[in-house]
Amino acid sequence: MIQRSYSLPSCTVLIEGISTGGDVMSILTSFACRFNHQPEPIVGGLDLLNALVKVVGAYAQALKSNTALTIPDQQVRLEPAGSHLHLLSVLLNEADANNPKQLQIKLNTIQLFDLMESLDRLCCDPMTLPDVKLVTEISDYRLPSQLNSQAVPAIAGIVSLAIAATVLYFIPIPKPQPKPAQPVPTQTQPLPKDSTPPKANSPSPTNPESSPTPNSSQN
Amino acid sequence: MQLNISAPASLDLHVPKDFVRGCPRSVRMDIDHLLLAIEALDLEAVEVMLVLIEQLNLGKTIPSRVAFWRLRNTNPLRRNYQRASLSWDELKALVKIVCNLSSQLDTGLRLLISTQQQMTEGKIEALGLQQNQAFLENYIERFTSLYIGRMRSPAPLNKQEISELALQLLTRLLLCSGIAGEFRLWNSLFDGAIA
Repeated sequence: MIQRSYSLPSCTVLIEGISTGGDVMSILTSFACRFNHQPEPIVGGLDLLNALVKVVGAYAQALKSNTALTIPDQQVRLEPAGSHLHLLSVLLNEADANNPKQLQIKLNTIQLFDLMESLDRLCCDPMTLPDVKLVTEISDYRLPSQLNSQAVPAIAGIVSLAIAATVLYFIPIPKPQPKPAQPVPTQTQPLPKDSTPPKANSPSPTNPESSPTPNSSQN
Repeated sequence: MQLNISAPASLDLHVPKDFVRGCPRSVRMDIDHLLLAIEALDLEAVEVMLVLIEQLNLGKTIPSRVAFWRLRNTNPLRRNYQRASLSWDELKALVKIVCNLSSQLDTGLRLLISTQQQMTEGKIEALGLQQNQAFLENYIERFTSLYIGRMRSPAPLNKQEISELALQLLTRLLLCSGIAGEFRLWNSLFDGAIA
């Protein structure tokens, strides 16, 4: 029987197991995870430990990337509760179906870090449970709906462009109209210098017949 | 028995395959912001970083103070941005420096983060921890002045956003101060980055 403990200021993980040879503990009999602010420890077997490592590791990784993420798992749930708190709910006594117990622990960021760090130390320890691996890849847990919600505007834009293009395709292209034959502008006499230029919208005071402007002759 | 645990060598910082065009913009911004937060926590940090470069055998990647300064100026928001990018080795070196320093600053980070929580819960007066609040405010002030001094002008963020960034960086530094911090930081840098 070997005992190993990984302790941080607010959280202690105690591992009990058997070694099959040498110093390496390869079979877990039980583990206990104890928080300073919570009298009741999380006690369980290998399944619960693996679930805890997976959920806590991925959640902390997502927290660092500043994207909330809840990993689907039956036994362990970790979700944000308020700006600084995280709610860890663990289903204990999975084997004993008559007496399932839901343990809920509120963790602040530092307690969550201590939990993550003690589990990380366990994962990185080559002498204890070499099969328990660190979880840092979280892209597998990303919800597909998140991707969908990002893709919707892009798809909508492409579709609306396609619809508009199809509709506009059926509108006939206007044929060029033959230009009306333009009268050749006649050479006009320059205005006499003393005459005032004709004003728009008002009959010119001088005789329009005697001094036609270039404009009037063209129209 | 836990004294001799170190991060296993089998977990290598592997370069993500999607990023064929080199280090993404957002990664260069992130790593520089983390270094800036460390500087705001500890004013001597740049000297410590230069010593660390030698201790961690990173002298090949970052041979001198100027080379280090050039690496930090690959952040596109910097005033002296020269359109240079980071190589993967250089990024790995910076990740190692950030993680090493953040584990040294662990105690201070814990204090500041719990102070921040107490402030949002309105417990500072009741607990009589006004001094801790002053520490946190000092940190935010130093970060703001470093940010405004180093980044292009006009500053890309306003003062409110800068102090939010400063607080967010505290949590990120704490999370990469652990034993597997390098892997966690490395993976988080590429999470959501665009190639």
